[in-house]
Amino acid sequence: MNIKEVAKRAGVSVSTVSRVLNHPDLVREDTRKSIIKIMEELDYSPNWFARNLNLNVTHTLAILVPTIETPFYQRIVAGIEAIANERGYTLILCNTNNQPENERRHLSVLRDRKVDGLIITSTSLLPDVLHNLLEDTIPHVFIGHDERYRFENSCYISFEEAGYRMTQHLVSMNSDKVNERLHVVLDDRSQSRTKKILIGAIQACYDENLAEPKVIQCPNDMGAPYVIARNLIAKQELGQLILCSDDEMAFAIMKAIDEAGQSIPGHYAIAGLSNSIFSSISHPPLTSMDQPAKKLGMVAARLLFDLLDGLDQSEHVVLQSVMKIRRSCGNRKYIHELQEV
Amino acid sequence: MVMFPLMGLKLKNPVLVAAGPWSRDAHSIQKSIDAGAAAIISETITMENGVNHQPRYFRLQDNVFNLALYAKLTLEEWQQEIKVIDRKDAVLIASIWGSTPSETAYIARKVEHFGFDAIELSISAPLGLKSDRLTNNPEMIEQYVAAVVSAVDIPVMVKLSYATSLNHRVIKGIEAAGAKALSAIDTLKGLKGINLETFTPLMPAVGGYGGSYLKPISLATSASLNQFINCDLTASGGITSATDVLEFLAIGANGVQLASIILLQGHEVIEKIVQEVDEWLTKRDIRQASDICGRALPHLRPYEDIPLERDIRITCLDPSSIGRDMMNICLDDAIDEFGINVSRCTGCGICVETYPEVFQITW
Repeated sequence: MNIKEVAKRAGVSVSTVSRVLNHPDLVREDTRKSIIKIMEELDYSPNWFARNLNLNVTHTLAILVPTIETPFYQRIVAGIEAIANERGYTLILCNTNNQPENERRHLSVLRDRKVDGLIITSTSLLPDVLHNLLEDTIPHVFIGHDERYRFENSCYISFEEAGYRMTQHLVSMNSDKVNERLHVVLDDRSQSRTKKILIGAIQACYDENLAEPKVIQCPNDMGAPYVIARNLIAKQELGQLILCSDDEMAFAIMKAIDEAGQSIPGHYAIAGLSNSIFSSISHPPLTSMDQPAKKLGMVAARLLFDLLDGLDQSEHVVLQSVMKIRRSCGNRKYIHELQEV
Repeated sequence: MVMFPLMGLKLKNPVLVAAGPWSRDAHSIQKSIDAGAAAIISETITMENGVNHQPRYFRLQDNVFNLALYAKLTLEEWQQEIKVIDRKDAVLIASIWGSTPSETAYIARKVEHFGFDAIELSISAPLGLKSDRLTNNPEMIEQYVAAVVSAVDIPVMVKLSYATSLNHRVIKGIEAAGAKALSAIDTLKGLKGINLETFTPLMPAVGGYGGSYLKPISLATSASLNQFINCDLTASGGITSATDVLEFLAIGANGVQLASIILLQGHEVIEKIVQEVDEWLTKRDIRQASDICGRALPHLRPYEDIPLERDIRITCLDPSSIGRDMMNICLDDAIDEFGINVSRCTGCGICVETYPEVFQITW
């Protein structure tokens, strides 16, 4: 059973049938329904692998990212590229800016361009919508961890574990500061990651018998966190333990604290979770967590090439982030900077 | 030729090459194969970008400190390397490490696919990424090992640090998770010294310290591990000669790994050791591994069972040679210019060990 027979039976062209499979939104409702009915009658299922063989392998991969402005995604792309280059593949980079419309548009274009494979680093589409758009069309790997989706192949860093571990560390370093609520400052444009961080932080607070953390959501820039921190300090409402999803936000808050004449780790203990390249030279050096973003990209590319090589396995790989204990959390030891206990 | 079975594989002799920079690529592994080693373990393969710190080796006599974490070559490069190795009759084992069970299982599947015959799993986290969570947590370690074992069909051997080898719960967990063999011990953490002029350490960071000094520690570890494990054991740490190899076999190891000695003397030393081991086994008419493996074990006792010697007598063969240093060594003040004062001597034996030509035990 092949596509030609379906087209013949339905009295339409092959490209119409193809459109029903790949661009259902472009086909009239009644036409689409009747073609689908015929497919069911004839027990037809599209063979994407055969399609690729017919249409020539393109040696291109696409990456869908929510932003190209943060080091995290930049490094993921670098990791994917490292593996792709070794295999002689070219990359197409699609930035969705967290907008569902952009994402939809990119996915359609990618199908038309017939890329060999796709790596999705973030999505703002609902599970059913996304899976419908992807189903059986392009081999793909998901970077991230979201139980609502059903990806066969994925890899991720456990941000929940990172949030948990860092909260636990801050608490263990600062028994004198645990009476107030932990402040968790999150980048509001990176929800999939920060949601997990918060879950981990909440769990850690619970396990350490602390009150539930206070959540602050704002853009990750030098302006917003600084202003928020400054206002809270003026009202004497800034918590003594501060956890930031991104080191840049921590730097901004540190600036506000410094200007108010207060000290870290004297008055406040603060940590980030993205290990900026400046975190080891800030004043004080910022305790943070190194995310293996480049490795994550390499793993995703490897998983994708496994699919392209015909390895028919479902793989899920988790990577671990590494704590970098510096000074801002209250740590005074030296070797402690190199290892966590 | 005596076969030495190890985790279901047949090794043509008991000499293995440990994971390390002397096994960093096809070229170096080929040297070990050509020198006659029965099995070669690769430098530890990971999904990280390998780093070569400069410098990364330091020495204290013939003991070596290293600041090398794992292989420089990537996973993909290993796939190409193994293709150009002429195995002959040697067994190839991949040493692997990953930060999580799923990451390590992925690497394991890959190296099996590349053609390695077995895996050596490093569970003591490497230098620089130390975390007690993994080193001493039985549940996590069991999960880790189980993930790798279930990912592949080839046998998995787990390499233990000294600390882990003392932890019975962890060892039981590793066996329960399906490891077919253990290898013990890895290097210890060492620091060469401090420059007192500048107050700087002689190394930028604490490193892995290996060499002949390790032999007695590793020998004791092999002895105690063999008491309670069911799986096979390969010994590593301080093995530098054929005699060493044979001693470890006698105390219960199924195979013995050479490491720093290759760094210090080159791959040729493998050939010498393999040959001498073979000559010794032939001379003693040893036909199978079980004729030597563990032969010395029954004679080793737990401390509580040391038979109390009664009235051992230590005599001095040549009182005229007694000097200040000999008198100083005696804790009982029992040595004087006439010899040994029997009423004071408590038979500790330190003079016999230190001056065997002068003092002797006469029962």
